[in-house]
Amino acid sequence: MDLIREYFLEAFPNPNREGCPDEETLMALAEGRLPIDNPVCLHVASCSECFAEFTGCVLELEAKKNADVTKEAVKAEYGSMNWMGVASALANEGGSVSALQRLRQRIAAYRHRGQNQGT
Amino acid sequence: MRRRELHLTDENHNAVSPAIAAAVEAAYRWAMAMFPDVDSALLANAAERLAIKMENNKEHLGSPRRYAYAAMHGKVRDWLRKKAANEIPIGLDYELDEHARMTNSFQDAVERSILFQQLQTKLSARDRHILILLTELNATPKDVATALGINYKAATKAIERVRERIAICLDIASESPKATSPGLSTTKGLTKKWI
Repeated sequence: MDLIREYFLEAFPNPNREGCPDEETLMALAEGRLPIDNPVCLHVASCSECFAEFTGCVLELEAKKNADVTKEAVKAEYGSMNWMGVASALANEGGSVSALQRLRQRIAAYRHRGQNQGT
Repeated sequence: MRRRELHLTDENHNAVSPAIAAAVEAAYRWAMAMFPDVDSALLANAAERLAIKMENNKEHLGSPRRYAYAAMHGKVRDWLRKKAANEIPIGLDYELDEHARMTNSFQDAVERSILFQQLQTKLSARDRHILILLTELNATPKDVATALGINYKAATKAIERVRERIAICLDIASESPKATSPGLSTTKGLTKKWI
């Protein structure tokens, strides 16, 4: 582990949690919602328990961000595979449209032939 | 052995409450990230036992998340101390360790604690504040200036002084006979990064 992190985790035990901010404030600090001159930052530098929680908040935020990125990627991949996308892509290409038309004509002819054989 | 999924149940094998599950999961992932050398299976076992205890005492828990972090941190710290104290290579292991320039983690632990004491005496609360800003919040000297209410030039000087103070501590640490061992390799990295 990073020596500085280990130092902050070990050197300032505060088991009674004296003067500790609440969890929401620590999360706000991790998210950067608090101004940088907020005294909570000074407290984190002097309380191993709060430092641990603060680093936990940072990790949770990173994990959340990564999960969002993955979700977006999956969404994008799915979007490229959906049939509307395929249809619109095909519609943009004249050759493909004519190929589809030819396929439709063949299917229609096949059905028509089947009907004639049945009668 | 790597273990990433937790099976969080109470004594009757029912799922623990969502708040406790979330708190224990978060603390477990934090411990895995902060202490990558610790076996994740051990951490998972500790987390599962913690969940059982928390579920049994949930009426008395003020903040499950806070409790879970403190408990996991304490567990890992105790485990590391115990492990360091037990790990004394003897005989052939000792010779091999010496040959490979391996360290005895108990000695590392002692050296680290001495280094932390030196840092404690050398770094003021203001210096530690600067360290947190730079290392954890990715602050620039301009941000440091804003946080401390000083001008940019004074902030850069303050950062420089923190670096010098850490360097002094590391120099003192490197004067110890074990300085060439990989036990202080992390301090070498730190020196590279900071000085």
